Amino acid sequence: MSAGKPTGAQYSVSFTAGQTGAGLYSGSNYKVKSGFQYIYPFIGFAFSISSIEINFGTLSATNPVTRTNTLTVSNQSAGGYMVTAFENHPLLVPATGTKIPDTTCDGGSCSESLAAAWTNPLTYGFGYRCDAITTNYCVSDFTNGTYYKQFADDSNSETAQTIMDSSVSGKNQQAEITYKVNISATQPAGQYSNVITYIATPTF
Amino acid sequence: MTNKQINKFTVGVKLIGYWIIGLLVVLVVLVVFSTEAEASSVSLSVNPPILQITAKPPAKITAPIKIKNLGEETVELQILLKPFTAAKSEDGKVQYLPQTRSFDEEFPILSKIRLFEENTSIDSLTLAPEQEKELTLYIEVDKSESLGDYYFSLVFLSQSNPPEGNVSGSSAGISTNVLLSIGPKGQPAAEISKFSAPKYLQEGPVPFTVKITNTGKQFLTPKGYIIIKNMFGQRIGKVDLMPVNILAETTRQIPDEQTATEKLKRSTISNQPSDINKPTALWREKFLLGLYTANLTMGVTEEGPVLNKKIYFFAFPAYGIILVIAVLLGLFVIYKKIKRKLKNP
Repeated sequence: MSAGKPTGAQYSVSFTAGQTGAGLYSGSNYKVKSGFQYIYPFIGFAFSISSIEINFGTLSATNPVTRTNTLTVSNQSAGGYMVTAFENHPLLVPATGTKIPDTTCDGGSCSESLAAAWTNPLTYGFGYRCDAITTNYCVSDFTNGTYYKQFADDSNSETAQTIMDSSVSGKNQQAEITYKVNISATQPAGQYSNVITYIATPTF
Repeated sequence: MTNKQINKFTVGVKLIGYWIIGLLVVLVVLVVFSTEAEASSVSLSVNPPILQITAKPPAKITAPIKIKNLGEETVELQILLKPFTAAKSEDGKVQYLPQTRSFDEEFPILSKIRLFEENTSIDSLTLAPEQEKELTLYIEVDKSESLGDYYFSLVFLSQSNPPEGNVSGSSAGISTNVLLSIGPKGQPAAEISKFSAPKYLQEGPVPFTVKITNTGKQFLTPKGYIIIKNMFGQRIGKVDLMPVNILAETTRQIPDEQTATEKLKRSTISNQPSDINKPTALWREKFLLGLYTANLTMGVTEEGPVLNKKIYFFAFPAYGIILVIAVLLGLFVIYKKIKRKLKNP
Protein backbone atom coordinates (compact mmCIF):
# COMPACT_ATOMS: atom_id res chain seq x y z
CA MET A 1 0.00 0.00 0.00
CA SER A 2 1.52 3.32 -0.95
CA ALA A 3 0.45 6.84 -1.77
CA GLY A 4 -1.74 6.99 -4.85
CA LYS A 5 -1.65 3.43 -6.14
CA PRO A 6 -1.70 0.50 -3.73
CA THR A 7 1.08 -1.97 -4.38
CA GLY A 8 2.92 -4.60 -2.38
CA ALA A 9 3.24 -8.30 -1.86
CA GLN A 10 0.75 -10.28 0.14
CA TYR A 11 1.60 -10.89 3.76
CA SER A 12 0.10 -13.29 6.17
CA VAL A 13 0.40 -12.73 9.87
CA SER A 14 -1.61 -13.33 12.96
CA PHE A 15 -2.32 -10.70 15.55
CA THR A 16 -2.78 -10.53 19.25
CA ALA A 17 -4.79 -7.53 20.30
CA GLY A 18 -3.59 -5.85 23.47
CA GLN A 19 -6.39 -3.56 24.55
CA THR A 20 -5.66 -1.81 27.82
CA GLY A 21 -8.73 0.43 27.97
CA ALA A 22 -11.51 1.88 25.85
CA GLY A 23 -9.73 3.03 22.67
CA LEU A 24 -6.30 2.23 24.12
CA TYR A 25 -4.04 -0.51 22.82
CA SER A 26 -0.50 -1.43 23.61
CA GLY A 27 2.10 -3.98 22.73
CA SER A 28 5.81 -4.45 22.91
CA ASN A 29 7.35 -0.99 22.46
CA TYR A 30 4.20 0.79 21.29
CA LYS A 31 0.95 2.43 22.40
CA VAL A 32 -2.10 3.27 20.33
CA LYS A 33 -4.84 5.78 21.17
CA SER A 34 -7.85 5.13 19.00
CA GLY A 35 -10.25 7.99 18.32
CA PHE A 36 -10.91 11.13 20.29
CA GLN A 37 -11.85 9.77 23.70
CA TYR A 38 -13.70 12.90 24.70
CA ILE A 39 -16.06 12.90 21.70
CA TYR A 40 -18.50 10.01 21.15
CA PRO A 41 -15.78 7.39 20.50
CA PHE A 42 -18.17 4.69 19.37
CA ILE A 43 -19.83 6.56 16.49
CA GLY A 44 -18.09 6.32 13.12
CA PHE A 45 -17.15 9.23 10.89
CA ALA A 46 -19.57 9.02 7.96
CA PHE A 47 -19.81 10.49 4.47
CA SER A 48 -22.37 10.01 1.71
CA ILE A 49 -23.19 11.26 -1.77
CA SER A 50 -26.86 11.28 -2.72
CA SER A 51 -26.43 10.55 -6.41
CA ILE A 52 -23.22 9.25 -7.95
CA GLU A 53 -24.30 9.71 -11.55
CA ILE A 54 -24.95 13.23 -12.76
CA ASN A 55 -26.58 12.90 -16.17
CA PHE A 56 -26.72 16.11 -18.17
CA GLY A 57 -28.83 14.57 -20.92
CA THR A 58 -28.54 15.87 -24.46
CA LEU A 59 -26.59 19.10 -24.56
CA SER A 60 -27.44 21.92 -26.96
CA ALA A 61 -25.43 25.03 -27.69
CA THR A 62 -25.84 28.06 -25.41
CA ASN A 63 -28.36 26.22 -23.22
CA PRO A 64 -26.61 25.70 -19.85
CA VAL A 65 -27.64 22.57 -18.00
CA THR A 66 -27.42 22.28 -14.22
CA ARG A 67 -27.78 19.23 -12.03
CA THR A 68 -27.34 18.74 -8.30
CA ASN A 69 -26.47 16.17 -5.69
CA THR A 70 -26.01 16.34 -1.94
CA LEU A 71 -22.97 15.63 0.22
CA THR A 72 -23.63 14.62 3.83
CA VAL A 73 -21.09 14.32 6.64
CA SER A 74 -21.64 13.07 10.19
CA ASN A 75 -18.63 13.74 12.41
CA GLN A 76 -19.86 13.13 15.93
CA SER A 77 -16.64 11.23 16.62
CA ALA A 78 -14.33 13.96 15.31
CA GLY A 79 -13.89 17.63 16.10
CA GLY A 80 -14.19 18.76 12.52
CA TYR A 81 -13.64 17.71 8.92
CA MET A 82 -13.12 18.83 5.34
CA VAL A 83 -14.35 17.48 2.01
CA THR A 84 -11.99 17.93 -0.94
CA ALA A 85 -12.83 17.35 -4.58
CA PHE A 86 -11.10 16.87 -7.89
CA GLU A 87 -11.97 15.58 -11.37
CA ASN A 88 -9.96 12.89 -13.14
CA HIS A 89 -10.05 15.10 -16.27
CA PRO A 90 -12.40 17.61 -17.92
CA LEU A 91 -15.54 16.25 -19.54
CA LEU A 92 -14.32 14.40 -22.60
CA VAL A 93 -15.23 11.77 -25.16
CA PRO A 94 -13.12 8.75 -24.14
CA ALA A 95 -12.74 7.47 -27.71
CA THR A 96 -11.46 10.72 -29.23
CA GLY A 97 -10.26 12.78 -26.28
CA THR A 98 -12.38 15.75 -27.38
CA LYS A 99 -13.06 17.92 -24.33
CA ILE A 100 -15.55 20.35 -22.95
CA PRO A 101 -13.06 22.59 -21.17
CA ASP A 102 -13.46 23.63 -17.57
CA THR A 103 -15.19 26.99 -17.40
CA THR A 104 -13.25 30.18 -16.72
CA CYS A 105 -16.55 31.98 -15.93
CA ASP A 106 -17.82 35.25 -17.41
CA GLY A 107 -14.70 37.34 -16.98
CA GLY A 108 -12.26 34.52 -17.60
CA SER A 109 -11.26 34.75 -13.95
CA CYS A 110 -12.36 31.57 -12.24
CA SER A 111 -10.14 28.58 -11.70
CA GLU A 112 -10.03 25.55 -9.43
CA SER A 113 -9.08 27.82 -6.52
CA LEU A 114 -10.95 31.02 -7.37
CA ALA A 115 -14.70 31.39 -7.91
CA ALA A 116 -16.31 34.00 -10.14
CA ALA A 117 -19.68 34.85 -11.65
CA TRP A 118 -21.00 32.66 -14.46
CA THR A 119 -24.34 33.88 -15.78
CA ASN A 120 -23.69 34.59 -19.46
CA PRO A 121 -25.22 31.91 -21.75
CA LEU A 122 -22.35 32.57 -24.14
CA THR A 123 -19.76 31.52 -21.56
CA TYR A 124 -19.01 27.84 -22.07
CA GLY A 125 -17.47 25.03 -20.09
CA PHE A 126 -18.01 22.86 -17.01
CA GLY A 127 -18.00 24.02 -13.40
CA TYR A 128 -19.69 23.70 -10.03
CA ARG A 129 -20.83 25.60 -6.97
CA CYS A 130 -21.70 24.67 -3.39
CA ASP A 131 -24.82 25.82 -1.54
CA ALA A 132 -26.10 25.52 2.00
CA ILE A 133 -29.16 23.38 2.61
CA THR A 134 -29.96 24.52 6.15
CA THR A 135 -26.67 25.53 7.75
CA ASN A 136 -23.75 26.72 5.67
CA TYR A 137 -20.82 24.28 5.52
CA CYS A 138 -19.56 25.38 2.09
CA VAL A 139 -16.29 27.26 1.77
CA SER A 140 -16.62 31.02 1.54
CA ASP A 141 -15.92 31.20 -2.23
CA PHE A 142 -19.61 30.71 -3.01
CA THR A 143 -21.12 33.55 -0.97
CA ASN A 144 -22.39 35.06 -4.21
CA GLY A 145 -25.14 32.92 -5.70
CA THR A 146 -23.80 33.28 -9.26
CA TYR A 147 -20.27 32.14 -8.48
CA TYR A 148 -18.83 28.95 -9.92
CA LYS A 149 -15.44 27.25 -9.91
CA GLN A 150 -13.64 24.60 -11.92
CA PHE A 151 -12.98 21.23 -10.35
CA ALA A 152 -9.26 20.68 -9.73
CA ASP A 153 -8.02 18.70 -12.75
CA ASP A 154 -6.02 15.68 -11.64
CA SER A 155 -4.79 15.05 -15.20
CA ASN A 156 -3.17 18.48 -15.01
CA SER A 157 -1.73 17.82 -11.52
CA GLU A 158 -3.97 20.44 -9.92
CA THR A 159 -4.39 20.17 -6.16
CA ALA A 160 -7.74 18.94 -4.84
CA GLN A 161 -9.74 21.81 -3.34
CA THR A 162 -11.78 21.98 -0.17
CA ILE A 163 -15.47 22.51 -0.94
CA MET A 164 -17.06 22.06 2.48
CA ASP A 165 -15.76 21.96 6.02
CA SER A 166 -16.65 22.41 9.67
CA SER A 167 -14.82 22.82 12.97
CA VAL A 168 -17.57 21.42 15.19
CA SER A 169 -18.97 17.95 15.72
CA GLY A 170 -22.39 17.21 14.29
CA LYS A 171 -24.70 14.84 12.48
CA ASN A 172 -25.95 15.09 8.89
CA GLN A 173 -24.11 18.24 7.91
CA GLN A 174 -25.13 18.77 4.30
CA ALA A 175 -24.19 20.77 1.24
CA GLU A 176 -25.71 20.84 -2.23
CA ILE A 177 -23.37 20.70 -5.21
CA THR A 178 -24.61 22.21 -8.48
CA TYR A 179 -22.87 21.07 -11.67
CA LYS A 180 -23.18 23.32 -14.69
CA VAL A 181 -22.23 22.63 -18.30
CA ASN A 182 -22.67 24.85 -21.34
CA ILE A 183 -21.42 24.19 -24.86
CA SER A 184 -20.85 26.30 -27.93
CA ALA A 185 -22.31 25.61 -31.37
CA THR A 186 -18.90 24.34 -32.52
CA GLN A 187 -18.59 21.68 -29.81
CA PRO A 188 -18.18 18.33 -31.58
CA ALA A 189 -20.95 15.83 -30.99
CA GLY A 190 -20.20 12.99 -28.61
CA GLN A 191 -20.76 11.49 -25.16
CA TYR A 192 -18.73 13.52 -22.68
CA SER A 193 -17.94 12.14 -19.25
CA ASN A 194 -15.61 12.35 -16.27
CA VAL A 195 -15.45 11.30 -12.62
CA ILE A 196 -15.47 13.65 -9.64
CA THR A 197 -13.79 12.29 -6.51
CA TYR A 198 -14.87 13.61 -3.12
CA ILE A 199 -12.79 12.70 -0.07
CA ALA A 200 -14.04 13.42 3.47
CA THR A 201 -11.21 13.74 5.99
CA PRO A 202 -11.68 14.35 9.71
CA THR A 203 -9.48 16.82 11.54
CA PHE A 204 -6.60 15.45 13.51
CA MET B 1 -88.14 0.10 0.02
CA THR B 2 -89.77 -1.58 -2.96
CA ASN B 3 -88.07 -4.41 -4.85
CA LYS B 4 -87.34 -2.06 -7.73
CA GLN B 5 -85.57 0.37 -5.43
CA ILE B 6 -83.57 -2.42 -3.80
CA ASN B 7 -82.46 -3.66 -7.23
CA LYS B 8 -81.41 -0.16 -8.27
CA PHE B 9 -79.48 0.25 -5.02
CA THR B 10 -77.71 -3.09 -5.45
CA VAL B 11 -76.70 -2.27 -9.02
CA GLY B 12 -75.39 1.12 -7.88
CA VAL B 13 -73.26 -0.46 -5.16
CA LYS B 14 -71.88 -3.00 -7.62
CA LEU B 15 -70.94 -0.25 -10.09
CA ILE B 16 -69.12 1.69 -7.38
CA GLY B 17 -67.34 -1.47 -6.36
CA TYR B 18 -66.18 -2.13 -9.94
CA TRP B 19 -64.87 1.45 -10.19
CA ILE B 20 -62.89 1.11 -6.98
CA ILE B 21 -61.38 -2.20 -8.05
CA GLY B 22 -60.51 -0.78 -11.47
CA LEU B 23 -58.86 2.24 -9.87
CA LEU B 24 -56.81 0.03 -7.56
CA VAL B 25 -55.64 -2.10 -10.47
CA VAL B 26 -54.51 0.98 -12.38
CA LEU B 27 -52.63 2.26 -9.35
CA VAL B 28 -50.91 -1.08 -8.81
CA VAL B 29 -49.90 -1.24 -12.47
CA LEU B 30 -48.48 2.29 -12.29
CA VAL B 31 -46.46 1.52 -9.19
CA VAL B 32 -45.13 -1.85 -10.34
CA PHE B 33 -44.25 -0.82 -13.87
CA SER B 34 -43.02 2.67 -13.07
CA THR B 35 -39.94 3.45 -15.18
CA GLU B 36 -38.69 6.16 -12.85
CA ALA B 37 -35.19 5.09 -11.80
CA GLU B 38 -33.75 5.90 -8.35
CA ALA B 39 -30.33 7.50 -8.53
CA SER B 40 -27.53 5.40 -7.00
CA SER B 41 -25.91 6.77 -3.90
CA VAL B 42 -22.91 5.83 -1.77
CA SER B 43 -22.58 6.07 1.99
CA LEU B 44 -19.58 5.01 4.10
CA SER B 45 -18.41 5.26 7.67
CA VAL B 46 -15.05 4.60 9.32
CA ASN B 47 -14.11 4.22 12.97
CA PRO B 48 -11.94 5.49 14.54
CA PRO B 49 -11.36 8.78 12.74
CA ILE B 50 -7.84 8.94 14.14
CA LEU B 51 -5.10 6.69 15.47
CA GLN B 52 -2.31 8.17 17.57
CA ILE B 53 0.64 5.80 17.75
CA THR B 54 3.88 6.12 19.67
CA ALA B 55 6.51 3.45 19.20
CA LYS B 56 10.13 2.69 19.94
CA PRO B 57 12.02 0.54 17.43
CA PRO B 58 11.71 -2.36 17.03
CA ALA B 59 7.94 -2.73 17.15
CA LYS B 60 5.15 -4.54 15.34
CA ILE B 61 2.16 -2.26 15.71
CA THR B 62 -1.44 -3.38 15.25
CA ALA B 63 -4.63 -1.34 15.56
CA PRO B 64 -8.23 -2.10 14.52
CA ILE B 65 -10.16 -0.03 11.99
CA LYS B 66 -13.84 -0.56 11.14
CA ILE B 67 -15.23 0.36 7.74
CA LYS B 68 -18.94 0.14 7.00
CA ASN B 69 -21.11 0.45 3.91
CA LEU B 70 -24.17 2.40 5.05
CA GLY B 71 -25.72 2.33 1.58
CA GLU B 72 -28.11 0.04 -0.23
CA GLU B 73 -25.71 -1.16 -2.90
CA THR B 74 -22.52 -3.16 -2.82
CA VAL B 75 -19.47 -0.95 -2.96
CA GLU B 76 -15.91 -1.75 -4.01
CA LEU B 77 -13.26 0.24 -2.19
CA GLN B 78 -9.69 0.98 -3.11
CA ILE B 79 -7.38 1.68 -0.18
CA LEU B 80 -4.91 4.54 -0.48
CA LEU B 81 -2.30 5.97 1.84
CA LYS B 82 -1.90 9.76 1.63
CA PRO B 83 0.77 11.55 3.68
CA PHE B 84 -0.24 14.97 5.02
CA THR B 85 0.89 17.93 7.03
CA ALA B 86 -1.13 20.50 8.99
CA ALA B 87 -3.13 22.93 6.87
CA LYS B 88 -2.26 26.63 7.15
CA SER B 89 -5.70 27.27 8.64
CA GLU B 90 -4.25 26.02 11.99
CA ASP B 91 -7.52 24.29 12.87
CA GLY B 92 -6.58 20.63 12.63
CA LYS B 93 -7.43 20.19 8.97
CA VAL B 94 -4.96 18.24 6.85
CA GLN B 95 -3.07 19.30 3.75
CA TYR B 96 -2.14 16.35 1.60
CA LEU B 97 1.42 16.35 0.27
CA PRO B 98 1.65 16.74 -3.52
CA GLN B 99 1.47 13.45 -5.38
CA THR B 100 4.54 14.35 -7.41
CA ARG B 101 6.76 13.61 -4.44
CA SER B 102 8.39 10.21 -4.16
CA PHE B 103 6.91 9.10 -0.87
CA ASP B 104 8.54 5.69 -0.82
CA GLU B 105 11.99 7.24 -0.93
CA GLU B 106 11.26 10.10 1.43
CA PHE B 107 9.27 8.04 3.94
CA PRO B 108 10.48 4.42 3.69
CA ILE B 109 8.29 3.51 6.69
CA LEU B 110 5.26 3.91 4.43
CA SER B 111 6.21 0.75 2.51
CA LYS B 112 5.94 -1.18 5.78
CA ILE B 113 2.35 -0.20 6.45
CA ARG B 114 -0.24 -2.84 5.65
CA LEU B 115 -3.94 -3.28 6.13
CA PHE B 116 -5.18 -6.75 6.93
CA GLU B 117 -8.58 -8.37 6.62
CA GLU B 118 -8.36 -11.26 9.03
CA ASN B 119 -4.89 -12.58 8.21
CA THR B 120 -4.54 -11.38 4.62
CA SER B 121 -2.99 -8.12 3.46
CA ILE B 122 -5.36 -6.17 1.23
CA ASP B 123 -5.35 -3.03 -0.90
CA SER B 124 -9.02 -3.17 -1.83
CA LEU B 125 -12.19 -4.64 -0.43
CA THR B 126 -15.85 -5.15 -1.23
CA LEU B 127 -18.68 -4.32 1.15
CA ALA B 128 -22.25 -5.53 0.72
CA PRO B 129 -25.10 -3.19 1.77
CA GLU B 130 -24.94 -2.48 5.53
CA GLN B 131 -21.86 -4.69 5.84
CA GLU B 132 -19.11 -3.71 8.27
CA LYS B 133 -15.61 -5.12 8.29
CA GLU B 134 -12.98 -4.87 10.98
CA LEU B 135 -9.52 -4.49 9.51
CA THR B 136 -6.14 -4.40 11.19
CA LEU B 137 -3.59 -1.72 10.54
CA TYR B 138 -0.13 -3.25 10.78
CA ILE B 139 3.10 -1.25 10.90
CA GLU B 140 6.49 -2.89 11.16
CA VAL B 141 9.12 -0.65 12.74
CA ASP B 142 12.63 -2.02 12.27
CA LYS B 143 15.39 -1.50 14.78
CA SER B 144 17.14 0.76 12.27
CA GLU B 145 14.04 2.80 11.43
CA SER B 146 14.57 6.56 11.17
CA LEU B 147 13.21 8.34 14.21
CA GLY B 148 10.56 10.97 13.71
CA ASP B 149 6.88 11.59 13.09
CA TYR B 150 4.87 10.38 10.12
CA TYR B 151 1.36 11.57 9.40
CA PHE B 152 -0.90 9.96 6.84
CA SER B 153 -4.54 9.26 6.00
CA LEU B 154 -5.89 5.86 5.12
CA VAL B 155 -8.43 6.61 2.40
CA PHE B 156 -11.16 4.17 1.43
CA LEU B 157 -12.24 5.23 -2.06
CA SER B 158 -15.30 3.87 -3.85
CA GLN B 159 -14.84 2.73 -7.40
CA SER B 160 -17.27 4.17 -9.90
CA ASN B 161 -18.29 2.43 -13.11
CA PRO B 162 -17.11 4.14 -16.31
CA PRO B 163 -19.83 6.71 -16.97
CA GLU B 164 -21.85 6.44 -20.17
CA GLY B 165 -23.49 9.40 -21.83
CA ASN B 166 -23.02 13.05 -20.93
CA VAL B 167 -22.32 12.14 -17.35
CA SER B 168 -20.22 13.16 -14.39
CA GLY B 169 -19.74 10.15 -12.16
CA SER B 170 -18.96 10.61 -8.47
CA SER B 171 -16.57 8.63 -6.33
CA ALA B 172 -16.70 8.89 -2.52
CA GLY B 173 -13.68 8.60 -0.28
CA ILE B 174 -13.57 8.49 3.51
CA SER B 175 -10.42 8.82 5.58
CA THR B 176 -9.01 7.96 8.94
CA ASN B 177 -5.89 9.82 10.06
CA VAL B 178 -2.81 8.19 11.57
CA LEU B 179 -0.25 10.10 13.65
CA LEU B 180 2.80 7.87 14.02
CA SER B 181 5.66 8.91 16.28
CA ILE B 182 8.77 6.71 16.20
CA GLY B 183 11.52 7.02 18.72
CA PRO B 184 11.94 7.69 22.39
CA LYS B 185 9.95 10.64 23.70
CA GLY B 186 12.16 13.68 23.24
CA GLN B 187 11.97 16.82 25.31
CA PRO B 188 8.58 18.34 24.48
CA ALA B 189 8.80 21.95 23.43
CA ALA B 190 5.97 24.37 22.80
CA GLU B 191 5.11 28.03 23.18
CA ILE B 192 2.02 30.16 23.39
CA SER B 193 2.12 31.93 20.04
CA LYS B 194 -1.11 33.84 20.69
CA PHE B 195 -3.49 34.42 23.61
CA SER B 196 -5.88 37.31 23.13
CA ALA B 197 -9.42 38.61 23.55
CA PRO B 198 -11.12 41.87 22.53
CA LYS B 199 -9.79 44.66 24.76
CA TYR B 200 -13.29 46.09 25.25
CA LEU B 201 -16.69 44.42 25.24
CA GLN B 202 -20.19 45.51 26.13
CA GLU B 203 -21.30 41.99 27.00
CA GLY B 204 -20.33 38.33 26.72
CA PRO B 205 -19.63 35.75 25.52
CA VAL B 206 -15.93 36.52 25.41
CA PRO B 207 -14.06 34.94 22.48
CA PHE B 208 -10.48 34.00 23.33
CA THR B 209 -7.94 33.17 20.63
CA VAL B 210 -5.50 30.55 21.86
CA LYS B 211 -2.68 29.38 19.58
CA ILE B 212 0.03 26.97 20.61
CA THR B 213 3.12 26.26 18.52
CA ASN B 214 4.77 22.87 18.83
CA THR B 215 8.47 23.62 18.39
CA GLY B 216 9.51 20.00 18.93
CA LYS B 217 9.91 17.00 16.63
CA GLN B 218 6.96 14.93 17.89
CA PHE B 219 3.25 15.61 17.97
CA LEU B 220 1.81 16.87 21.24
CA THR B 221 -1.61 16.87 22.87
CA PRO B 222 -1.43 19.71 25.38
CA LYS B 223 -4.20 20.27 27.92
CA GLY B 224 -5.13 23.59 29.41
CA TYR B 225 -7.69 26.02 30.70
CA ILE B 226 -8.35 29.74 31.15
CA ILE B 227 -9.21 31.20 34.56
CA ILE B 228 -11.06 34.50 34.58
CA LYS B 229 -10.96 36.87 37.57
CA ASN B 230 -12.81 40.11 38.16
CA MET B 231 -11.27 43.42 39.28
CA PHE B 232 -11.49 42.28 42.91
CA GLY B 233 -9.31 39.24 42.19
CA GLN B 234 -12.20 36.82 42.59
CA ARG B 235 -12.26 33.80 40.33
CA ILE B 236 -15.51 33.97 38.40
CA GLY B 237 -15.06 31.75 35.38
CA LYS B 238 -13.16 28.87 33.85
CA VAL B 239 -12.87 27.75 30.24
CA ASP B 240 -11.62 24.21 29.65
CA LEU B 241 -9.69 23.92 26.42
CA MET B 242 -10.03 20.97 24.08
CA PRO B 243 -6.97 18.65 24.20
CA VAL B 244 -6.12 18.74 20.48
CA ASN B 245 -3.18 17.26 18.61
CA ILE B 246 -0.51 19.64 17.42
CA LEU B 247 1.82 18.20 14.79
CA ALA B 248 5.58 18.66 15.02
CA GLU B 249 6.73 22.18 14.16
CA THR B 250 3.23 23.49 13.53
CA THR B 251 0.76 25.84 15.20
CA ARG B 252 -2.82 25.10 16.14
CA GLN B 253 -5.66 27.28 17.34
CA ILE B 254 -7.51 25.66 20.22
CA PRO B 255 -11.25 25.78 20.95
CA ASP B 256 -12.92 25.20 24.28
CA GLU B 257 -14.38 21.79 24.98
CA GLN B 258 -18.00 22.88 24.94
CA THR B 259 -17.75 24.72 21.61
CA ALA B 260 -15.99 21.82 19.92
CA THR B 261 -18.31 19.08 21.12
CA GLU B 262 -21.78 20.52 20.86
CA LYS B 263 -23.71 21.50 17.79
CA LEU B 264 -24.11 25.25 17.87
CA LYS B 265 -26.95 27.21 16.41
CA ARG B 266 -25.80 29.01 13.31
CA SER B 267 -27.40 31.14 10.68
CA THR B 268 -29.71 29.14 8.47
CA ILE B 269 -29.99 29.08 4.69
CA SER B 270 -27.20 31.55 4.29
CA ASN B 271 -24.09 31.33 2.21
CA GLN B 272 -22.31 33.67 4.61
CA PRO B 273 -19.71 31.60 6.47
CA SER B 274 -20.23 31.63 10.22
CA ASP B 275 -17.49 32.92 12.55
CA ILE B 276 -18.30 30.03 14.85
CA ASN B 277 -16.54 27.81 12.27
CA LYS B 278 -13.19 29.09 13.60
CA PRO B 279 -11.84 27.23 16.66
CA THR B 280 -12.53 29.82 19.39
CA ALA B 281 -12.43 29.39 23.15
CA LEU B 282 -15.60 30.99 24.49
CA TRP B 283 -16.34 32.21 27.98
CA ARG B 284 -20.11 32.24 27.91
CA GLU B 285 -20.85 34.71 30.70
CA LYS B 286 -23.35 37.27 29.39
CA PHE B 287 -23.29 40.20 31.85
CA LEU B 288 -19.88 41.80 32.20
CA LEU B 289 -18.77 44.94 34.03
CA GLY B 290 -15.30 46.15 34.88
CA LEU B 291 -11.72 45.03 34.39
CA TYR B 292 -11.05 41.31 34.03
CA THR B 293 -7.90 39.19 33.90
CA ALA B 294 -7.68 35.92 32.00
CA ASN B 295 -4.89 33.51 32.85
CA LEU B 296 -4.06 30.75 30.36
CA THR B 297 -2.41 27.62 31.73
CA MET B 298 -1.26 24.91 29.27
CA GLY B 299 0.35 21.61 30.24
CA VAL B 300 2.42 20.63 27.21
CA THR B 301 2.46 16.99 28.36
CA GLU B 302 1.33 15.22 31.51
CA GLU B 303 4.91 15.55 32.74
CA GLY B 304 5.19 19.22 31.83
CA PRO B 305 6.36 21.82 31.03
CA VAL B 306 3.52 24.22 31.89
CA LEU B 307 3.02 27.41 29.91
CA ASN B 308 1.31 30.51 31.33
CA LYS B 309 0.12 33.83 29.98
CA LYS B 310 -2.12 36.58 31.38
CA ILE B 311 -4.20 39.14 29.52
CA TYR B 312 -6.68 41.86 30.49
CA PHE B 313 -9.97 43.02 29.04
CA PHE B 314 -12.55 45.60 30.02
CA ALA B 315 -16.32 45.32 29.86
CA PHE B 316 -18.90 48.05 30.17
CA PRO B 317 -22.49 47.60 28.99
CA ALA B 318 -22.70 51.13 27.53
CA TYR B 319 -26.05 50.77 25.80
CA GLY B 320 -27.66 49.28 28.88
CA ILE B 321 -26.36 51.99 31.18
CA ILE B 322 -27.43 54.72 28.76
CA LEU B 323 -30.92 53.23 28.60
CA VAL B 324 -31.20 53.09 32.41
CA ILE B 325 -30.03 56.72 32.73
CA ALA B 326 -32.50 57.83 30.06
CA VAL B 327 -35.36 56.11 31.87
CA LEU B 328 -34.33 57.62 35.23
CA LEU B 329 -34.03 61.04 33.65
CA GLY B 330 -37.45 60.71 32.14
CA LEU B 331 -38.96 59.67 35.48
CA PHE B 332 -37.22 62.62 37.17
CA VAL B 333 -38.64 65.10 34.64
CA ILE B 334 -42.14 63.68 35.09
CA TYR B 335 -41.75 63.89 38.87
CA LYS B 336 -40.69 67.51 38.66
CA LYS B 337 -43.63 68.46 36.44
CA ILE B 338 -46.12 66.76 38.72
CA LYS B 339 -44.61 68.49 41.75
CA ARG B 340 -44.85 71.92 40.03
CA LYS B 341 -48.48 71.34 39.12
CA LEU B 342 -49.36 70.33 42.64
CA LYS B 343 -47.71 73.50 44.00
CA ASN B 344 -49.46 75.74 41.46
CA PRO B 345 -52.81 74.18 40.75
